[in-house]
Amino acid sequence: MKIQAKKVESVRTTLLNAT
Amino acid sequence: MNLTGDSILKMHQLVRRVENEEEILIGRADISNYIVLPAIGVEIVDMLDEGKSINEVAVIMEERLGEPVDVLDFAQDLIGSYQFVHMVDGEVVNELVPVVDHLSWIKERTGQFFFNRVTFGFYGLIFLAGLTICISTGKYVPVFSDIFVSSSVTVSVLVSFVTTWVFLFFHELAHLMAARSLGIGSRIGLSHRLVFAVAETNMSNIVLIEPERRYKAFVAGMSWDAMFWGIGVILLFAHDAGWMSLMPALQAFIRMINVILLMALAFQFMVFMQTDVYYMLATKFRCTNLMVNTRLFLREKYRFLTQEEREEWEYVADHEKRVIRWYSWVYLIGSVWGIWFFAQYQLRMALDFIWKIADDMKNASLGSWEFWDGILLILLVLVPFLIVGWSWIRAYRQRRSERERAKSLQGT
Repeated sequence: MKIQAKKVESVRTTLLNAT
Repeated sequence: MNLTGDSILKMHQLVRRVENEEEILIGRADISNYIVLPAIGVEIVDMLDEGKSINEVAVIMEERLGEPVDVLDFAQDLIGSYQFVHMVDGEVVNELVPVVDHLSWIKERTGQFFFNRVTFGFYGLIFLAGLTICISTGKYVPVFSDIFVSSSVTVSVLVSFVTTWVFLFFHELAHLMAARSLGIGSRIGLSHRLVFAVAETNMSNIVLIEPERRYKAFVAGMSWDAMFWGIGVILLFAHDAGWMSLMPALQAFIRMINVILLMALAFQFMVFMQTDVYYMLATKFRCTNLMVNTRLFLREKYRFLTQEEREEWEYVADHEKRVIRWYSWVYLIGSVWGIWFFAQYQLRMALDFIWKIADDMKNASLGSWEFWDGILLILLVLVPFLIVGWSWIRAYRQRRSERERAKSLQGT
């Protein structure tokens, strides 16, 4: 039996930088 | 490092949270690496950490489950892919990483002061007031030409550049403070989404908080953007109503802020990128890794996956697969549109602008005011593109060094 894991997404909230 | 059945593993400090009846979220808070494991996987991690060898654990688990468990393969993943293991037989394989939270002097209760039910209601009310004024008067709706506050191009670009960065900082500060109110530290930095330059707040440890309480930290940035926008509209309206008097330059400045804020708010709804609204969606549907799994799904459709990736896709939860079925369309169509938008507007406008400045500079003598004025303008316009380029190179290097690291650890 193989032990499987689910990777958890990193949380990086953003804001657009457009000048 | 030589990993055998007799090897003894020592783990880093691992934190955990129960996800559901069968699964536990476990990971390293210092590098914010988390995985979701079946309960039996966490038991194996604990047994290994207590000093039992890989073979000993395998024997115990086989007796209990009645079938062999591949503990050696799991240990490989714990070392390389998840980086949970600190030492193998006394030899360090994953270094300790000192945690550097930004603005760590901001206290939890300060975050709580700015971000709670009452203040969110207040921010929402101001935004609604601004929206009501906009709809009922038909004025004050930001239009793109508002970005030019002055007849001087240099002044306009300089002012909008500085203002954008100030509001970027406030937006990220809001995220940081709201996350801090939940006891979660975060880091502010620069990055890219698709082809757009962004400021970002990395609050990956928020997965240690139960999902219902995370929204506060996601919506914090937009709540301030919306509030500032509402204040701007109210001020302009108050001036026109004769309740107060604003200088024309100040009115133009407010209009410029409002067009920047409106674009920033619109950007958040482009959920084919990892924006604030994307994280709210992913949390609402309880997805552990929506973006990455969507890419797996699409690559599985159009190209083959490696054996490892195939196993990863097979193991994605059913409810997440159902979300991916419709989200993959949002991702595909959105990404194509995003790149088209970038090429059509941001890139083309920047090139037109630089072309025009260069044309004006042709008549200026080297080292004159006009010359330096042109150089400054071109540099300011290039900043977002430079950020994207730098962020791409950084991401590429990180991927490459991780691949090389995995390769060197595989040689066991």
